[in-house]
Amino acid sequence: MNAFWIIFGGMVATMITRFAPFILLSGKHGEHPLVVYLGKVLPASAISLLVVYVYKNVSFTTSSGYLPELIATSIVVVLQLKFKNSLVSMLLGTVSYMLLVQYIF
Amino acid sequence: MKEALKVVFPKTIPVLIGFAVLGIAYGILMNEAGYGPLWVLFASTLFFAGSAQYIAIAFLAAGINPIYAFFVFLIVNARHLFYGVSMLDKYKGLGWKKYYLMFALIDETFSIASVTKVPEDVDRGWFFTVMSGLHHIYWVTASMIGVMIGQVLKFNTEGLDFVLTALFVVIFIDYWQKMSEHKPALIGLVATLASLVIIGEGQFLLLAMVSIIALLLIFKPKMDLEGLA
Repeated sequence: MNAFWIIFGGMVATMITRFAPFILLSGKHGEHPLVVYLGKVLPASAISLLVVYVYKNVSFTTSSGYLPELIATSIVVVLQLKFKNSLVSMLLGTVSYMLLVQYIF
Repeated sequence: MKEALKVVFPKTIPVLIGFAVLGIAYGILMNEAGYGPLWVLFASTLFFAGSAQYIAIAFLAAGINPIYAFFVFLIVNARHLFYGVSMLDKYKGLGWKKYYLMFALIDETFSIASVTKVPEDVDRGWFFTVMSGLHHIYWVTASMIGVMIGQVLKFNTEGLDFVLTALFVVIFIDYWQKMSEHKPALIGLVATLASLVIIGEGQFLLLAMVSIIALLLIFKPKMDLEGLA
């Protein structure tokens, strides 16, 4: 039952964050110049926040705390810059990461 | 709707592929944690928040207090507040579809919809609804395939959740290349990193978001708005 409430809570929390801007900022509020400005600049900042978020567990105290992430990320970046194919970048990056944490570190 | 489907489907192929990997991985991990098809169906259809769903796997396995989980989900998903603000205009005046669009505004839909111009001959409401709907279907289907693969195949899944990291890195690169004005991206990086260092893994997102807003407002006079996608 605990499990049900965790997922249910997830559903509610997500709906709150998704509906809130539309509810709070409808009509005149939505046209306020600051709201319009934030609407343009927030996307890029939001993605940056997410990128840092997924690396939050990285630790520099031991090599296994950061090297797998560093190597796998470099693979993702190089592949994406070279081939611009997100599937290839994600798949190969993830496979490398799994091999690194399972067999090497 | 048919015109919208024809025009929108090609735009959703990267997400189809991305979700194939991300969704199947999610299904496999959920199954491994002991949560089968019905749970995955419930989560992917109604919770529908990739990164939070991944975090939820750890919570489910650890039997975390649902109230604590709720607050973590609020913080992790707070970026949707940002997305909503940015999509106010594009989603305006669409009747019932708007409710589904709001509900389904995930990272991937946002990153595409926020930089896409609706073609003249296509209904804007159907354009966005089809886009969100397809992403939703891909996500649910991939998760279900994942949970079923997980029940049939056993393999060491350690590190599989890196796929989420890879996705965000790829989106980041994509955004960076699309925009010439990099300050918002850099502000996001610096503010979040600083918050992480100051507060630690636990609750840094709140500080990160507040500082991002503050910095974006401070740098407003210097922003090249044409250089954003």
